Amino acid sequence: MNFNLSRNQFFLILFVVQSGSSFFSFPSPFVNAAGRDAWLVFIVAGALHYMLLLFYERNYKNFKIGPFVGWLYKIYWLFLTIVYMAYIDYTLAVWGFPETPQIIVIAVLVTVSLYANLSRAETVINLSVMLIPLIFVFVIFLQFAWKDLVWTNLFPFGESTGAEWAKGFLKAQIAFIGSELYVFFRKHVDSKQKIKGRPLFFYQILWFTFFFFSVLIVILYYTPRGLERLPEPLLFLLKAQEVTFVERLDLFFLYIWTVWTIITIVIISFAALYVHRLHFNEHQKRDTIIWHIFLVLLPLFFLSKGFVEKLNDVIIYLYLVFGLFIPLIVILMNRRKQK
Amino acid sequence: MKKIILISIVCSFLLVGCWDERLFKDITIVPLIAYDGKQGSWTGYFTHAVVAKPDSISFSTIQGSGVSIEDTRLDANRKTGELLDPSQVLVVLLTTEAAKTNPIETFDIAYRMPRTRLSGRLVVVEGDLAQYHKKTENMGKELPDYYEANLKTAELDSVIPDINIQSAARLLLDEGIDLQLPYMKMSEATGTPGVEGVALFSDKVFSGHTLNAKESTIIQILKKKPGKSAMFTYKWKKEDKDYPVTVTQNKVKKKWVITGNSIHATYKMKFSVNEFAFDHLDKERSRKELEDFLSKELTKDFNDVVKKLQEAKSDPVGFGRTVRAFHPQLWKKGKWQDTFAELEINVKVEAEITRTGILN
Amino acid sequence: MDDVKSNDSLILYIQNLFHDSADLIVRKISWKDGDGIVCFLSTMTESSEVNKQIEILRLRSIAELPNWAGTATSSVEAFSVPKLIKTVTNGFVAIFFPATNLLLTITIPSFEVRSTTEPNNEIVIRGAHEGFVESIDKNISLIRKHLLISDLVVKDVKLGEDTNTKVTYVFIESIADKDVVNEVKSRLENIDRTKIYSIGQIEDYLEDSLWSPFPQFLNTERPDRAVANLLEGKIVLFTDQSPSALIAPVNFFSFYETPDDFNGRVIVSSFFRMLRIFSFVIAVFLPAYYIAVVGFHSEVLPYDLSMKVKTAVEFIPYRPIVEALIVELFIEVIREATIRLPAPIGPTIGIVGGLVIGDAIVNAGLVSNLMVVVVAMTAISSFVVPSVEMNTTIRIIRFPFMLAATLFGFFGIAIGTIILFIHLMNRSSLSQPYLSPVVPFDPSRFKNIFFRIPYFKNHKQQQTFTHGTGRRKRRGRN
Repeated sequence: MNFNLSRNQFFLILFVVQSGSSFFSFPSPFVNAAGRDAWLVFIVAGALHYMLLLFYERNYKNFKIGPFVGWLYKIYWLFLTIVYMAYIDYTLAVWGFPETPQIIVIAVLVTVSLYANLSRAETVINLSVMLIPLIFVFVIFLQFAWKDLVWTNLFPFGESTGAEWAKGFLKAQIAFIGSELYVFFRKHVDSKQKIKGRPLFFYQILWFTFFFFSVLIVILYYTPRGLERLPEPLLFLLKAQEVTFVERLDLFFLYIWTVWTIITIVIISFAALYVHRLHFNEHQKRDTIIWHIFLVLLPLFFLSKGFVEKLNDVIIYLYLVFGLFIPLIVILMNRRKQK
Repeated sequence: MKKIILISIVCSFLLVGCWDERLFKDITIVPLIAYDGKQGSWTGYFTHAVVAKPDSISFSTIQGSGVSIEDTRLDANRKTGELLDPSQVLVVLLTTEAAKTNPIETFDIAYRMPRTRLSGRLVVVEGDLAQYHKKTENMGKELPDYYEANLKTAELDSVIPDINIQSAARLLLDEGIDLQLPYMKMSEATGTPGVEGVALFSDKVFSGHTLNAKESTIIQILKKKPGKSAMFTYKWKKEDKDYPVTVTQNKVKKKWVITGNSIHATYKMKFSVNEFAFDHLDKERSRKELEDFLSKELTKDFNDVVKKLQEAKSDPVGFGRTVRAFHPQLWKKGKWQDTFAELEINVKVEAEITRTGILN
Repeated sequence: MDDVKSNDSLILYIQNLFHDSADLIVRKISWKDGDGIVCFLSTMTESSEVNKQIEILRLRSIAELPNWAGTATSSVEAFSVPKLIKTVTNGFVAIFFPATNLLLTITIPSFEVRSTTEPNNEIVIRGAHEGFVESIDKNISLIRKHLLISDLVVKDVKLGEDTNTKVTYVFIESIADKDVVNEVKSRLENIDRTKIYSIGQIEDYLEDSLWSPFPQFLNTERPDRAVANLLEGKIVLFTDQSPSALIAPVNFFSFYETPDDFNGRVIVSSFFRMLRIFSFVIAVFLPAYYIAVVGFHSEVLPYDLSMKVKTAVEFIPYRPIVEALIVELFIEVIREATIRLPAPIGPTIGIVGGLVIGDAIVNAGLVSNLMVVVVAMTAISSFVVPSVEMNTTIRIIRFPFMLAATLFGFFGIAIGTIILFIHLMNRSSLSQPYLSPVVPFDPSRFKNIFFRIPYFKNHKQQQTFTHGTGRRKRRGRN
C-alpha cells in the first residue's frame, strides 16, 4: 500500500490514536493510582513521552520488520481494538443501551470501520479531521466547570509514596498507547516536511496539554474519595453542567467519545492491515473483511466489567512490550546488520 | 431479492421500535421528589406531571414505600400508568430524619444512575412531608415550579448556596468542607413552605443544627460565594432615634491566617448603601462613623455564626480545605470536624462604603 | 458518384435520402457552368435569405473571382453524400454541382430561439438577469461576452449516431488543469450510445460515482455563474438544445455559493453563506434529532421545554418515525404538486395544502404540532441551497438519518454522520476531491466556505485543483 502523509496528517493520526479511547477513561485510574501528586507524576511522564518520541524519530529508519514481528504487532493491535471495543460497548450499555443485544452495537461500530477500510487509504488518513471541531467543543464545555474547581486540591504536593509514583507511571502509559504507530507511519511522511525539532516538540506540547488539562480538571473537581466512585469522571462533570438550550451534556459527549473510539479503531485496523500487506499483498479485500469479522466476534467474550478492567491493566504491559521493547530490539538488530 | 429482504427488515424496525426505545409519551416527568424515612424503611413522594387532555398539564403526588429509595420509586411506579422518570427532577426534598442517614450511601442511586439529572436541588424540610405537597393559592404556580422559583430567589439573595446533587455529593466526599443544604419550613401564617436558612451537615450527616436567613447569608460571604446580592440591615442609634441601615455587599476580600490552634480571618467588605434615613454620607466623618458601626456589628454577627458552626461541628466554609492543603500538622490532629470545633477562630470584618446610591 | 445521372434522378435520389420529408426543398438552379441543385430544409432555413445569398454567390462566380465560393457564410468542398446530409440536417443550404462534383455550403440557419430570460430555478436579487437558452451558439456567445480573451477555449464533440448531438466544453486554457481537461475529453469520447439528447445523459456518463446521492456536477442556467466558475479553472459543458450547463470539477461547498454572494456586500454575503451552511445542518439533522429526543433521550430537554413537548406528544397514536414520515410525505407531495400545477392555481393549492390540511392534521391528533414545526422548518431549510440537485439530495439523505435515529437515537445519528463523512470523502468530481477544502485541508480556502472574502484580498488566482493529478489527496501544503 502506497500512501503519503503530510506532517499535519501524521501528527493528527498519532494524536487521535493516543487520545482515542482513553480520553474519558484515562484520568480516573491514573489519579487513583498516583494519588494527589498525579499532576506532578504526569509532568514527569510527559517528559518521558517526549524522550520516547525523540528515540522514535532518531531510529525510525532502522525499524524494518519481518513477517514474524508483523504478526506479533497484528495480534497486539487486534487485542487493542478488542479491548477498546469491549470498553466502549460496556460504557454504551451502561449509559444508553442496556437492552440492545451487544453484538448489534458492536456490529454497527465495526461496520463503520469496515466501510472506511474498504475505501481509499486517504479516507482513513483524513477521517480524523472530523474530530478537530469536536475536540474544541469538548475543551470549551469543560471550561464551564471553571467556577466549581477547587484550587486547594493541588496541595499539599510531594506526599505520594514511591509505590504510588511507580503505579502512576505505569497508568500514565495509557496515554502513550498508540505512539508505536510513529515508527510505522513516519517513513510515509512527505520528506520535504521537517519533523525533527520544533514540529515534534509542538506535537509533544499539544499531547501534553490535552492530557494534563484533563488530569488537572479531574483533580481540581473531585476529591480522591469522590473519584474512586466514578470510572468516567469527565462524563459526570459534564452531566452537571447547565447550558440553557439543552441538558445532559454528558450524553452528547458520550457519543462524541464513541465517534472518537470508532475512528481510533479505524486507524488501528488500518495500521494492522497495512502491516499485513507489507508481507501478504494478495486478497486485500478478503483479509480486510476477515479482520473485521474478528472485531465483531472477539469482543463478545470480554464484555463483563471484570474483564474490561483486567484487560485495561494488561494493555499497559503489552504496550511496554510493543511500544518500547520490540522497537528497541528491532532497531538494534537492524543497526547491527547495517554495520 | 436480497434488497427486498433488507428493506423489509428495516421496515419492520419502523413498526416495532428498537430495544432501548423509551418513547417520551410513555414516560412521566417527575420534577419534585420527597423522601422520608430511615435506614431500611423509606417513603417517597413523587410529584409527577399528568396530561389528562391535550394542552393541559397538572401535577399529582404518589406515595411509595420500600427498603431503599429506588424501591420506593418502584413501589410508586406500580400505582401510575406511566414510567416515573427521575431525569427531569428539579427539587428533592429530604426530611431531617432522612438527612440524618448518610446521604452519600442512601442516595447513591440518585447520584450515579445514568438517567438522573444532577443539577436538581436538594432541600431539607422540617416536619411531615405530606404538608409540603399541598398546592395553595399563595403559590400562584404549580408545586414544583414554586419550589424551584422560591429556591432560586433565595439563592440570588445569598441565603442559600448554589448546591445541586452533583456538588452535594462532591462536598460530602470532601473531608475539608461540610455540606450545607437549604432548609425549608412551613410558614404558619400563610401555610406555604418558605426558605428558612440552611441545614448544617457534620461529616456526611445532618447535624440537627440549622441557621436562619441572616446567618446563612453570612456563611455564603465567609465562603466568598454570595449570590447576586447579599443585604444586611441594622439599626443605627443616633441622637436617641433608630435609623435603619440597609447595605448591599459589593465586594469581599478574605484573608485567613492559620496557626497551630487558631484561625484569624479578616474580611474586607465593600458595601453600597440602600437605605439610610440619616443621610449626610457625603461627609467623610459620618461615613466613617457608619463604617465603624457596620464593622463592629458585622464582626459580632460573623463571630456568632462561627460559634454556631463550631457548636454544630460543621465547617461549610471550607477552612478545612486550606488547612489540609497548607497546614498538615493541624490537619493530622484528627478528624477535621473535631479539630474545627476546638479551634480558636476570630473573624474581623472591615466595612467600607463605596457607593451611596442616590442617598447623600 | 462517377456515373452521370440526370439531374432529375439526382433530385429524386436526394429526396429519397430524406424519405420525402415535407420540409425538404430540392430545386434545380442554373449556374455558370451548368445546373446546380439547391437543397435545404425549409423549416430550418430562411428561404428568402437563401435567394439573396445565392444571388451574391452567382454574381461572384460570374465575376470569376479566384475564390468565389469562400465568403463569411459559405464554403465549398468536394461532394459526398454524408456531407450533404450533415449540411442539410444542420440547417444549412447545400448546393451541389454535378458537373464539377462540388458541394457549396451556405450557413444561414434560422431557429426559433427563446430570449435570454432569467432562469426560474436560479433567481438572484443582485446580478445579471439573463440565462442560457436552447441554442449552443447563443450560450457560447453569452459566455464570450463576459470573457473577452483569447484564452477561452471552446471544443466540440459529436455524440450519438442517431441524434448527432453536439456537446461543447469550454475552459480557460491558462487556468484550467490540463489533466482535468483531458479527463473530460476522454470521458466524452468514451460515451458510446446512439441516442444522446439531454445534458442529464451526459452527466450520467461523466460522473465519478453515479450511485452517490451527491451531485458531482453543478448544473446552472446562469451565464454569470458559469463565467465565475470558468475563472476558477473549472470546465463548463453544454449540449446543443439544452439551456443548462454542467460545471465540473466542483466540491461540495460550490453548491452553496450563489452569484448573489459576489454581488452583495462582504458582511451580508458572509452572513448568508454561513446561514446556508447552517441550514444544511438543520435540513439533514433536525428531524433525526427530534426523533431521537422523543424516542430515546427525553432527558436532554430542559424542564420547561420538556413540559411543552410532553403535552404535544402525549396523545399522538403513532411512533415518532411514522409521525415524521406522514408529515414529510405530505410536504413532499405538496411540493411535487405545486411544481406541476399551472401558475394561477399553484399558490392556492400550496396554501390550502399547507395551512388548512396542516392545521387539520394537528387538530385531528394524527401528528403533533412540534413535528409539523420540525418538518416544516427542515423543508424550508432544504430549499435554501441555491442548487436544485443539491436540494433534492439533502431532502433524500435526511431519511436515512431519521431511520438511524429511530433505531439507536443519538448513537445512530453519530454513526450516520461518520458514514456520511466517509462517503463524502470517497467521492470525487472528475477525480478531484469532493470535500476540498476541508479534506484535503487547505486553510487559505477553508475560510471561503463561511466567508465571502473581499475581492481585493484575493491576490492569487484561485485554481481549483491544487493537487495536480488529484489521484493523491493530501492535507496541508500543496
